Amino acid sequence: MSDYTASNFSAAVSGGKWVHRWSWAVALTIFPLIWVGGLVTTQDAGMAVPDWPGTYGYNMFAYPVSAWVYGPFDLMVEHGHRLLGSLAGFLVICLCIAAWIDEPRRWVRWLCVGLLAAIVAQGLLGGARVVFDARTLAMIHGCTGPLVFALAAAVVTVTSSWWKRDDKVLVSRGWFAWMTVGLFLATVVQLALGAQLRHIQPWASPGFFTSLVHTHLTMALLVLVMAIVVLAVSSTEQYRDLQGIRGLRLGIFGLLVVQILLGCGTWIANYALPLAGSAPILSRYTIEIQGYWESWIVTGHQATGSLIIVSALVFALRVWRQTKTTQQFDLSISHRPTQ
Amino acid sequence: MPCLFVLLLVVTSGCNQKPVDFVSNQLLSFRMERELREDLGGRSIEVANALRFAFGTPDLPKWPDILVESSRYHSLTDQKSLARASGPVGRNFDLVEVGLFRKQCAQCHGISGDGFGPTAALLDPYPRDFRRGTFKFKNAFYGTRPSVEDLIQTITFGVPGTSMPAMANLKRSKHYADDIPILARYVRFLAIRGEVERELMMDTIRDLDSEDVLFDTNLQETSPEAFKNGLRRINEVIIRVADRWMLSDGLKESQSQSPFNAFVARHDFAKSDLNSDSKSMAGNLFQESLESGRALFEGSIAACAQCHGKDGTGDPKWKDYDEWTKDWTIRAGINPMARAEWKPLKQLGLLKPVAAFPRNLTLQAYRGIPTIDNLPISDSSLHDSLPEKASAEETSSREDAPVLKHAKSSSRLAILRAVLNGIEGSPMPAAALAASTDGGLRDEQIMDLVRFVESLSNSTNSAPALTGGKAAGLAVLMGAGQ
Ligand code: HEC
Ligand code: HEC
Ligand code: HEM
Repeated sequence: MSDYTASNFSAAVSGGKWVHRWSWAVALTIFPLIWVGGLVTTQDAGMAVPDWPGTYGYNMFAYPVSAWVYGPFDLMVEHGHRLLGSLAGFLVICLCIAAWIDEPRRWVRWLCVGLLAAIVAQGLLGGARVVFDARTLAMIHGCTGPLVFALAAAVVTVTSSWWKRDDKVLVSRGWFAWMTVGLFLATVVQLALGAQLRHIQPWASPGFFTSLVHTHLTMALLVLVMAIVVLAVSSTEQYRDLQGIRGLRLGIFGLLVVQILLGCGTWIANYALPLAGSAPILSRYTIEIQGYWESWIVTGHQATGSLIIVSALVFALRVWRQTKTTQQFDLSISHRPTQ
Repeated sequence: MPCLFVLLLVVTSGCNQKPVDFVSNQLLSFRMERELREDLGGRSIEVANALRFAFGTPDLPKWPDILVESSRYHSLTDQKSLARASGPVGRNFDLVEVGLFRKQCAQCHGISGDGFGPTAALLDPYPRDFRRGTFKFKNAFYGTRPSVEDLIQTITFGVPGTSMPAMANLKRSKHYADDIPILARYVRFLAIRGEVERELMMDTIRDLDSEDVLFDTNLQETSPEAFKNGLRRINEVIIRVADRWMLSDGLKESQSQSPFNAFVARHDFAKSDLNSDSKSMAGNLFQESLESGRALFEGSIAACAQCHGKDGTGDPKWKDYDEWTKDWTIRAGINPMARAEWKPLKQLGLLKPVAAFPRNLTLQAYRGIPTIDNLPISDSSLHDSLPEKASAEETSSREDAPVLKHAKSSSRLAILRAVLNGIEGSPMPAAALAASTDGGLRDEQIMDLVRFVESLSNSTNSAPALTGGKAAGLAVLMGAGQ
């Protein structure tokens, strides 16, 4: 931190402040959107509104508020998800405009456009799920949602002033950097498995579901182990000076612990306690459909999952920002005098 | 890259968009093939077609015409409930919600009610297979079908200690208030359909000559006489099955048959509980009652200890299977304990046979949650001490109603019902009663027995002490839980 100087600060990319702010607005809208989307799945409310893009024949934005708020809960959740999604889309358009006006880096401008395309695709996917009444599309929509969230978080990261500052002590890339990418990908796989669990077709075979559950559990263990390795390696001598990852890696670890607890809670909320015969407390427990806490736990497991994906991506991006291959090292050293 | 992976996953596993249809009972065909020593492939297709003709599909179910035509089955053949409970989940343009069964139940009970939903293999006990018409928890007597009220009761309060959830929360909102009775009626539909399939496979095809065709829509043109004959056979079975269910409908007949209902109507016993008994019973009466109860528990008439063990924790050596498991194992000549024998049946829909253990009675946890709402009793104090009633007509919209209230006071009722009515489908028998059997139990003896079972889980009483490490483990767990 202390070693950046006025000169290399000025070397950083200037401008783009508004891009950063809008990207925060987008990310902060997508997170609740993920929650509400999770609630749609928890409540099986995907078809609570039978048409799209309209809502019961109304223009989506003109659907009477009273019918929405005082209507059945599943309708409220589904319609709310659509409105919030529209808001996120609107904010991404603003982000793109800001990027085109204010962002000097061409690739960042296109990244913003990519985010817009992703969010439009996500919305269309959601619409197609309703129009074709296809659970498979709902599952894809559930998988790609967190990826859109991750993309938004990537925009936040690369438009931050920290990213743009050229004050980084670059260290050698090596397998550790790849491990961070691996962690991110593993969380994505875990998400895809979880989405299959959540969107299981009622005629799927017990064998298929059972193996999905076992894979999801094995993958949870793998993600945890990878996270511990990343955590341990990043605190070694070699990577001690990396910026912006100390809090993040603890965050990831904490989220994982919470996630595993929520996963167990999800199991209990959906399928009851194991070993019910072993104690009075356990044997008197009854699952409740649409219980208040049950909904929070199950939806929370899904939302925390997407938060883990996002953290893993931001972590990887930050590590990659501060590492270079040995080749790049040689180049930059040889070029430094002339820069 | 991640997107690619997701796509791959979808392509490989998600896209099996089969047309939705009820699944044939392959285990039943297997059993009958072994019994009759002939290939029943053709017959099971005929049965499947007959069932589709009579009962429709999961998306478009219907009651068989023969039932709809007769006003006798009016209360059974409620097409509105069928329409709401079946089909894919969602709302119609008129805002009416449909697909309730797939939304709430099918992931466990399966789209056909065969207890073979995706989650089934991971649950213990397994979700109920409705197709046998056998239900455990009901006021209706052993061997009779549950009334709609019995099913509503189970669906509303769930089955504690199992994965069967309580749907009581649906009653909190006026938008979902009708869902439970609708689901109960759909369960009844699936059960009747399953029973018809069962009887067609087990009885009807036995009587057919090899050239007789049970059902084939083509016959309608080529041989209307044969078609009519087949239809007559099928309708006979449908009527037989429907009549069984009608017996418990409206409760009148089943009430007089059910020893539990009769007992509760005869005595105030259900009103009180162990603690108040211990205070109200004069002198040594209470202690004597418990002693008599213990003697009965261990004795040869009630023979509870034989399964539940002398201390009530359940005899771990005692091993038996429930009816659903026996159907496809022991009765099909398959040894449920020999993995090599039952394993091939998994493809046909068999879940790994698991022993049905006698309940640990020291836990004070009962799965049956009886009400006596359906009984001709006009005593409000009794009603107050029970879980809120779950009547078919009630459409409560009180948002803050304490809908899920597992009253401790109902444990006496649960024991009483288990003893008097038995738990059908499980090895738990109904007690032999003096009224019907020589040497059977008299009402006072039933009370002694129930008090004793209550005392098994009541540590403040002079209950037999729990023994050994089990007690310690229990205490630790209880401490941890409180
Ligand atoms: C999470 C899994 C699960 C879900 C969801 C579920 N059930 Fe069950 N259900 C079970 C299990 C397990 C049992 C067996 C309980 C036992 O044998 O003690 C059961 C038993 C039953 C029974 C039989 C009780 C008896 O007396 O034998 C009925 C009826 C029933 N369920 C109806 C429903 C309906 C209707 C729904 C949907 C509203 C539903 N279940 C949803 C797991 C589930
Ligand atoms: C043949 C073995 C057998 C005998 C004899 C037997 N039980 Fe059971 N009992 C069982 C089994 C098995 C269950 C578990 C049923 C189930 O699947 O829910 C059970 C369950 C129970 C329950 C729990 C009911 C509930 O709602 O959860 C009670 C109470 C009970 N038995 C009491 C008794 C009493 C009292 C006697 C003597 C009159 C007795 N049992 C005799 C096997 C037996
Ligand atoms: C590394 C830890 C884990 C991660 C990142 C993770 C991630 C997820 C995600 C994202 C979903 C929802 C997918 C969607 O709806 O789109 C999910 C579903 C699920 N997860 Fe996990 N999970 C983890 C660990 C666990 C554990 C330890 C369990 C324990 C049993 C568990 C049980 C479940 C279940 C049962 C579902 C389905 C929920 C439903 O049916 O509603 N998970 N998981």
